Amino acid sequence: MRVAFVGKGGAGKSSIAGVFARMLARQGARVLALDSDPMPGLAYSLGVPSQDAGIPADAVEEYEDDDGRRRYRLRSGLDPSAAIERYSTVSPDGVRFLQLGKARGVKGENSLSHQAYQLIVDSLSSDDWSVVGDLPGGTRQAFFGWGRFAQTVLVVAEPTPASVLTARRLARLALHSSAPRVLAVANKTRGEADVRYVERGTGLPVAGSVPYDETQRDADRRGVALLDLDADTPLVAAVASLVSSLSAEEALR
Amino acid sequence: MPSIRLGIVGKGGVGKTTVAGLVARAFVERGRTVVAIDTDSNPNLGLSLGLTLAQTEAIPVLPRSIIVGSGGSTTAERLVADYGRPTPAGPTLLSAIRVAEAGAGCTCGGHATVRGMLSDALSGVDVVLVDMEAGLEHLSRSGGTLAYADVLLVVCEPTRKSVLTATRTAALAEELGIPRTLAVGNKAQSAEDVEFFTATLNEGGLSLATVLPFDQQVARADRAGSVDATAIPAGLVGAVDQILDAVADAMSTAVQ
Repeated sequence: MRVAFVGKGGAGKSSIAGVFARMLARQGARVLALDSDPMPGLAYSLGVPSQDAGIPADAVEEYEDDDGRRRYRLRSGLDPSAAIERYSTVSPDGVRFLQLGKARGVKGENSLSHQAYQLIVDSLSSDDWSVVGDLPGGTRQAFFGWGRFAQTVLVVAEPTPASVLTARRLARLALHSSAPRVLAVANKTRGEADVRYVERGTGLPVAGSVPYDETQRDADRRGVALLDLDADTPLVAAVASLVSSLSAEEALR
Repeated sequence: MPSIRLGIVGKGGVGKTTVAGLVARAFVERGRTVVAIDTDSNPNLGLSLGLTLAQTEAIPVLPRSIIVGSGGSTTAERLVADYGRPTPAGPTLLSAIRVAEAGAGCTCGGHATVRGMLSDALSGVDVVLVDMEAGLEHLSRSGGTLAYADVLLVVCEPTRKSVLTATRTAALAEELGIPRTLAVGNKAQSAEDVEFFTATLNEGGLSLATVLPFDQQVARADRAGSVDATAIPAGLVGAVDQILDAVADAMSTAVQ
């Protein structure tokens, strides 16, 4: 399974993606969680220490293609799985976590590190890895194709006009890319009417509804993963059921 | 030159656009002429200034990458006249960026135009307020959209992640030479949340302008998608006033 979570900032992408990745791993999948946000991102909700370092620049090497243009590829001897082994951290439940280096200053030159990240993501084999990606909020990265690894794009939306508006714009972007399937996940819902609102507002089929979760608020303030604070909450239950239904569907295809 | 050029930044979902709308309205209530610029590729500021979604989406997008001011092809005044639209809250709204389809072009040009506008004299305008897209790419790229800002308001909510984003933003702003950065705590639901802001922002070396309480009226308006932008919700008046006072204080302190 390869999913990318997108949505408006604050819609709850990381909170859901972190639980999603760990639940998928608990089912026995070999899971790679991807965080392409240059600001602090998925680490908190996965339960790994938040770090700034990205992939080191020496993971890639320059070469000339047949037309004499300068290109980059992973350093010789470094295949994608070896690169993940080396540059990812392991979260609870055994999820491998790979991130884009975090922005620290204006002058930090990190384009090689970004190249390395994209080369690894682009060359992953579906047979080896289930991938759960968390894109930064808004339309910017989706616009530049950072979610192209995904077979399923999950657009997280709260039942508010601004949130479904972003979701609608994102759905349009995703449908123009190669992702074959775009689904909505309604978040912070307080009843069936909210789910219908998200369905109508985004124009997308709703794959899951995640109720508003007071414990998540507590986890956000403490900077810890919800699963490590309390595994028995409405959000965890809803995401577990989303994982099950998407896995079951996948098995049928 | 406008007397105050204000940038509003912060993690996605913390309430930048809501705070931008409130601050813009409060300046209008103090008798100032305000221009508000939305640089979000996913523009929503119109909603917070009282426009409908259809009106917000009908605002013409600023031309990209034009040189504004002396030696350029246009002036900030001209751009406000041609691309600005009045809003129920009072400010004139400009929209700098819109992303329609994947691969349809880069957004840097829109940011460059806004940067140029901030550098140019804009007579008859007291306050220019820029609601920034979440993330920092455009604080740092191509000289920085907000390189000419006088004050940066960095909004956070009671979460570790938003405070970490705020302290990162402040560090970048300092490198860029933006003279003053103030933090605004948003959506506080308890004394514990207020304490959280005080402790964590202090630890991050940021000065806290005020804490806005979680407001039912704002939450309802968010859900309804229609904001009565002609009045600041009663529960927020005091805190929004504190933001304006803190901005005035910061402006009067000579930095650099």
